[in-house]
Amino acid sequence: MDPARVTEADVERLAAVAGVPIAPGDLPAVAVALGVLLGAARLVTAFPLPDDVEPAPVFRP
Amino acid sequence: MTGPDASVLAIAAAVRARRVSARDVTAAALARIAGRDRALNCFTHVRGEAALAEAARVDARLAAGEDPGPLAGVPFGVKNLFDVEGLTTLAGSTIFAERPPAARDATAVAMLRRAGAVLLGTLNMDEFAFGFTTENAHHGPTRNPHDPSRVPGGSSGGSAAAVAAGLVPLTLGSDTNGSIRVPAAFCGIFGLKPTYGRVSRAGVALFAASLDHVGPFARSVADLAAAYDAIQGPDPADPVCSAAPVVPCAPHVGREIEGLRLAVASGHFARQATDEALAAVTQVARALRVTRHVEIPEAHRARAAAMVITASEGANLHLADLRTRAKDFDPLTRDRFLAGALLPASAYAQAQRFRAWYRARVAEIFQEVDVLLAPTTPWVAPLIGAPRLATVGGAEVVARAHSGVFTQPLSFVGLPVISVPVATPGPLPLGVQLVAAPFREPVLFRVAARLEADGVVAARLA
Repeated sequence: MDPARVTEADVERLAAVAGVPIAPGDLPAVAVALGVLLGAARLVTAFPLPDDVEPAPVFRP
Repeated sequence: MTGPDASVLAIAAAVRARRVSARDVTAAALARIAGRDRALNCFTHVRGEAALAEAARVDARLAAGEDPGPLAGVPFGVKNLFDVEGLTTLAGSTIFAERPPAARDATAVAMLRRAGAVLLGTLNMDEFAFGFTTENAHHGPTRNPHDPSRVPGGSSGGSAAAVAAGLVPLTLGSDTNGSIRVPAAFCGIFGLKPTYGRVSRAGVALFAASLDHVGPFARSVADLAAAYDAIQGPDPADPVCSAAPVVPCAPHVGREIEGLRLAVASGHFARQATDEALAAVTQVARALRVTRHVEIPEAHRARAAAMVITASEGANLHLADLRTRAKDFDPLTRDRFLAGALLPASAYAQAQRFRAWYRARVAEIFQEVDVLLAPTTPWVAPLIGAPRLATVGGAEVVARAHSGVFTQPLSFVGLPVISVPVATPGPLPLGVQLVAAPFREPVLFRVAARLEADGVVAARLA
């Protein structure tokens, strides 16, 4: 599971869009953590799933 | 019955027969905690007089000819994310310390108390259960009783270390990605992560609701079964708790395992681990005469999907605090929670769809197999404060996260797992996961008990 390349500037932009202020001192560690998570996310989204596979949680009204 | 090695069942039997008082058992456990826990840091709150009073009530009921329950007088502790009436539920944080005390016990705590067990206190953990080490910046690290320079595992590290050190014979923890099984392995004891939805999480601070489980730690298979039988069952207060009828597991301890179809998990479960972790699986497989190997497809991707779901749900749960007071989070969780708040929704949605696909593949395997064997962790307990990156099996990995590499693909689809403690040549224990199809905990207890009876697995009191 290779981490994605994420810069501190990437984190700043994403955080601004998401409305999650991140202290400058936290940017390097968040960039590393987000790189690991996006690496995992790529592995998941790269997997072809048939259209009829629904999310595991099932809502029952 | 008042020593550190006294078992759950022996204490309960002696208290019920009035050979020893619950109060004396409790007082002895409190004395052990007072003597050793300053160094180990398992407990974040010790109930002291309240526990003694609770034990005295068990004795009074016995004196009055009443039945105080099958776990009469058994001292226990719970990870500090369980609600305990009158205590503030910390979940390893200082942010929650500002909240009012819980109005009532979590369902699992209440069930143990109704069975006669005596609650001694609450136990340390990774903040909000997001970690495998219990290196908690707010409450200090819990130390592994087998080697105090090492972590006990996490996030239920205080729960595992307290049992391994003989402070109490029974604790409860929670497991979202391995947080019962990893510390059970690192501390050399038994830990059960039941089927998702088999034990109520009502009154337990959630982390990632899609994956959160509750389960017990103990030093013997019979003790683990007794604890599990006391807490398993339906609970309308937990929306994912199953209405399936309860199947007691204690009667399965000691039953034959002939006819059970056993196999070793291969592929993902044989990579990126130390030789000794893989040797532990071989040792158990040989003892059970297992020669068959089965590969769960896409297990590495299941782990990745578990990471995405955990980070997304965890960040969402704490979003308000992340926006307004991120500085109050533990430095070891803050960056990962913040990163989780920035993940694209499509990754989360696909992870939940992949979960359904993967569940179907795993179900196919369990048509042919009753119990799978897999390593619990890729290595023995790491040092406290270890570097962020490590190399194992020729690959560079994120060290703290990698401790869950073998547990995450299994909890991801809610399978029941017992981590059994394997005797190793070295000073530090290791664990092997016994894995079954959902709601087949009884077969796990049968296999674990056989291994224990044959001396292949044994809890190590430290």
